[in-house]
Amino acid sequence: MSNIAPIALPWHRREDTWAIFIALGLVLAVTTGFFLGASPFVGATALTIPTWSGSLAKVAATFAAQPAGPIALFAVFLLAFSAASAVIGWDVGKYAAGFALLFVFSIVVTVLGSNQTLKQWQLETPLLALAVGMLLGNSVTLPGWFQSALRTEFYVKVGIILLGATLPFTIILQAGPLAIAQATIVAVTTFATIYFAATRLFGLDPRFGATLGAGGSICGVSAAIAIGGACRAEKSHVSVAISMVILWAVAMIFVLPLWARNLGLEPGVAGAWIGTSEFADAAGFAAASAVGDERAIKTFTLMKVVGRDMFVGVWALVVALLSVTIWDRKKSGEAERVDVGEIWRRFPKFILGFLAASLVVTFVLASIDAKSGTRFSKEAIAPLKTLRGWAFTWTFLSIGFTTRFRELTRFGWRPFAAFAVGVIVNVPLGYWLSAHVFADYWNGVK
Amino acid sequence: MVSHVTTVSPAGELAEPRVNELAGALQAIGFRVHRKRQHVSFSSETVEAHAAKAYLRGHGFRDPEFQIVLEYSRLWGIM
Repeated sequence: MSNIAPIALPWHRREDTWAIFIALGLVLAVTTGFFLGASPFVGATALTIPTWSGSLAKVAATFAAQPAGPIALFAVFLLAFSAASAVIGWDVGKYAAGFALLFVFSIVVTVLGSNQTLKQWQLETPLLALAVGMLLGNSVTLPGWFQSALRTEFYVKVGIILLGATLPFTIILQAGPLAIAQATIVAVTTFATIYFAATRLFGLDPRFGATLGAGGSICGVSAAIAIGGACRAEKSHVSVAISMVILWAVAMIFVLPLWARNLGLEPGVAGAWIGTSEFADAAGFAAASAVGDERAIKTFTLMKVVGRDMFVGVWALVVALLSVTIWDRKKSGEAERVDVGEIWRRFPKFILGFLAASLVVTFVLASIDAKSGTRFSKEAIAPLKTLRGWAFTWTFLSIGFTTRFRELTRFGWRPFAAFAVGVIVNVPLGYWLSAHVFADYWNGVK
Repeated sequence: MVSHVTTVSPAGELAEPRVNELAGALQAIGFRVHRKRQHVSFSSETVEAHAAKAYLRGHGFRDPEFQIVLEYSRLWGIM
């Protein structure tokens, strides 16, 4: 391991740590509640909005039947997020006020997104949340206290870990090798395409090319940050790569589900394609949710989290070695040292929470009889799925509110062109692998 | 869109006088010193990694004598 002193944030002040504490804490609390016979109390927190058409009477009846539901949901997450804010070092008062308003927005868009007509127009909660956020975020100056609650990455990590609880570990083990194989084919091809387009066609610096390539092929903004750091790319280059990722990721939220529907893809295949060809986790979840089928979310997660995100540390090590040898024109004995600790340093730690959540639920299901298992699915896993849905709604609203198009247009045409070449390769290749080469497998994920 | 921390450490079996020279050179451009047990490192949130490397080379340090770790963090609102 490295002999570098930990100068960056300590583990207990990191967002990943708190996402794990909160989501895994919820999984354990719900599981314990089930065995203690407290499922009705837990169920009250997991507020669900029914599909409605015409008048809002059905929704009003739901709120009347569980008046404590919205309050319990709000209170649980406010407490958890405020505790995290206090330790991480965010302003707790501002955060709490901002989260209260975000929560109100999430109730409104979920009620609207549950409307039968809007559902028929494919304007369900994820896209509606994005649209509302983008509209307001780009037309109104948001108050600072509200902006402090727009923590896209934090919410999506909580959602992904909760998603682990709804994905049996056996599926992760079965799908892992295939997801990794498909992701590796696409990631290596896309990275190489963007890198060579950037350096050979458009004359950009190799470190800039690698940062752009990572953003377009591995795991979006997180990869641009990790690989940019590993190869010592300039700060301005990392910012341009992030702009590229966000622009394309937001476009793909709308484009990929629409194409998948027009091409008549099965949900499992559509999710795998989105997992292969979307550029960021949060955007990918929005796109996979827009497919409107749980199977799409599962195959998306297998591809994106297991197939792509897990390997950013390995990519970082390889690129760091390239950086100090080939790009610096040094032989290994003359080069600056790079240690294997790079893999762990850049590894997205929240994935450990995702795997742990899956293991906990799989272990519980394997330990009880079939009848209790069915009851556990209904009384424990279903509420966790609902809580996950709320975490993703806050994610989608935060994406919308924080995507400022004016701020994303400060880049030259060359990085845009290099990234676009990668998109032209990535999207059809992802489609071909998901819908033809591995289609049987993705259709088999239930 | 991002903030950064550039960390420089002496690499390999660097003799103490050389470590002191490294410390002096880095502190001259605003790097802070961090000591943990026998390890010493230097960090800056203003000097970028490529600039630090060019500076150290310019002051007679060879690449195997130091190790640079650059860590970027996303600023508020980045997806």
